[in-house]
Amino acid sequence: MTRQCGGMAAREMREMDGGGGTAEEKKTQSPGGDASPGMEPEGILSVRALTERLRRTLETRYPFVWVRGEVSNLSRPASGHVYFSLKDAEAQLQCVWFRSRQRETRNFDPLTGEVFDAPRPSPLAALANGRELLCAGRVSVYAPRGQYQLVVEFVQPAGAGLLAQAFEERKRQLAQAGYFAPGRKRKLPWNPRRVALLTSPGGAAIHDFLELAQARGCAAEIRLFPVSVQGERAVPEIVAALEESNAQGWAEVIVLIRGGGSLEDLWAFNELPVAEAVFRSRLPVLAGIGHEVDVSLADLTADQRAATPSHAAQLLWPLRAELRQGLDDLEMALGRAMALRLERAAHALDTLARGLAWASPVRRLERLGERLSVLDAALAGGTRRWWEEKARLLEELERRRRSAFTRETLRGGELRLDMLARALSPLVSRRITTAAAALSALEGRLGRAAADMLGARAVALERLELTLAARDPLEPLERGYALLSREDGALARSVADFAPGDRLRARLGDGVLTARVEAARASRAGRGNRE
Amino acid sequence: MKTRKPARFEDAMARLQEIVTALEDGQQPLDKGIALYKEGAACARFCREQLEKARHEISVWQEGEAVPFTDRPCAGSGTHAGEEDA
Repeated sequence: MTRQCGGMAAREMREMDGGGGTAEEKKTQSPGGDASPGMEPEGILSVRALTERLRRTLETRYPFVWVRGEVSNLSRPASGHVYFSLKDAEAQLQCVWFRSRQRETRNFDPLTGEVFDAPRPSPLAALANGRELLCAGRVSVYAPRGQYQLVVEFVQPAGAGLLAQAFEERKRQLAQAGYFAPGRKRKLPWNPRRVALLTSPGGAAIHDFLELAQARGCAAEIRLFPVSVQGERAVPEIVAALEESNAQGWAEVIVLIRGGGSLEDLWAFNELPVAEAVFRSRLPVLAGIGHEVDVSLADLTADQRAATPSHAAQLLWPLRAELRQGLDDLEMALGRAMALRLERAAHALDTLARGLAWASPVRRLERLGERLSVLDAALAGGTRRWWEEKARLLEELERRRRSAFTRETLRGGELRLDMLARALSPLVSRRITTAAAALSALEGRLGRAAADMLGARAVALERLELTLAARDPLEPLERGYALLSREDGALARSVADFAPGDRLRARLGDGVLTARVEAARASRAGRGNRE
Repeated sequence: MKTRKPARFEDAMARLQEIVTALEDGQQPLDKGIALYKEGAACARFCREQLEKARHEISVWQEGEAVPFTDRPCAGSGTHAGEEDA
């Protein structure tokens, strides 16, 4: 009630002031002016005067400012004026929003000047304790309570613009820190079997994600780490879940998803601790936050960003039908390759079989038989040709012989022979005469030579006869020597020619004795003893 | 040659691909080729089984253990009414 009255009073006062404020101030400031009742001497200000000065100073200095703060002490009296405080951690500002100003913010954004196609609901609706607001107006003083206040002209939820500003600022920081560097993005595992899913168990995101996952990939294990995705608990829970899944190391990939919402709803994913936890994650992170147009810092930091939770499932697993098709293709290729391989082998076998048949003994005999008949034919032909050749040659010779020995040629030969005989006979008789003369000369020489030679020989013979007579072996027998010979008639020269008991013959000058050997002893001089 | 049993779908697919390439190349002796074909067929059968029985298994990590995730409430419930997704 107090506030309401105060507000009323302030408004009335302000409206009453009009141009009057200036006049009053002039009066106050003019030294010779009417002194108000209770006015102090010069240099000393009344409370009202000071308040007026302060009001004037403030209004001049802050005719229009934007202030951001959280609403508290909201009060909406029946008058339609709205009273509240804007506060932050360290200060508080009283605000009044007169009813006359309350409708002006519906058709355009006073901050950006953007004109809305459709009128926006009055920001009054957005007014609630604890809400961040952006208020524009002039700073004034409410004299009765001695407090300065913001006379609000426009009200706007603090959300959009400022969050966007904060987002851009953080994004710049993280980019500088290398959070979004393409070089550190890891490749997601293809068709993963163990997936850590970080989202709200009751949200649309998990529903969409699992719905799409059904028809994709091979049988995977999905471990849900339930986290709040908005509100105060969101950031610590998301960070804890990221750390937990990393500590477990069980999953091949972490999937961080959340369905669509306002920028404020998605704000947890723009908080530094979340981005930092994603950045720290050893396991690759796939983030799908909000709709396609929403890009959070977690998205930007993640190894891969999915436009939506559904898209995350698409990125993670290949369509099972495609896997099946790939398998079909490979299976058919396997069949084809094997068929081709067998066909090739059959062909090779065929070739070998033909080669084998060609090399078989039967075929060899056949081939040799063929060869033999060919050679046989060639031989027959050759023989025939040889005979023909010889016959032809014979015929030729016969023809030549006939042509050579005709009557005419014979006659010519006879004449030539006569002529040669006639030329030969004088030569022959002359040679004979010469030869006969030489012969008789030689005969004469031969006769003489023979007579000479006979005479010489007779003399020599005579001498030899004398010598021979002197050497007659029987002649010493007359003087007492004997010639011993063995039974077989051979002359004995050594005792070794005899053995005891052998018969021997001894020839003396007048006859022959037959004796028997008693003993045989060789003398040292080698001469034998005679018995 | 004994037939290896790959433990994972990807490995089996990769092995199948390898076998197809080797068979298409056709350098190996026929008996080895037949063994390869058998192995390839086994890989294909394994992959097909994997695909046929592929169901994702979903659990929730709660208080230090994974418990089966039976309840799957959809969007619009409770604290997450703000979420909306296509």
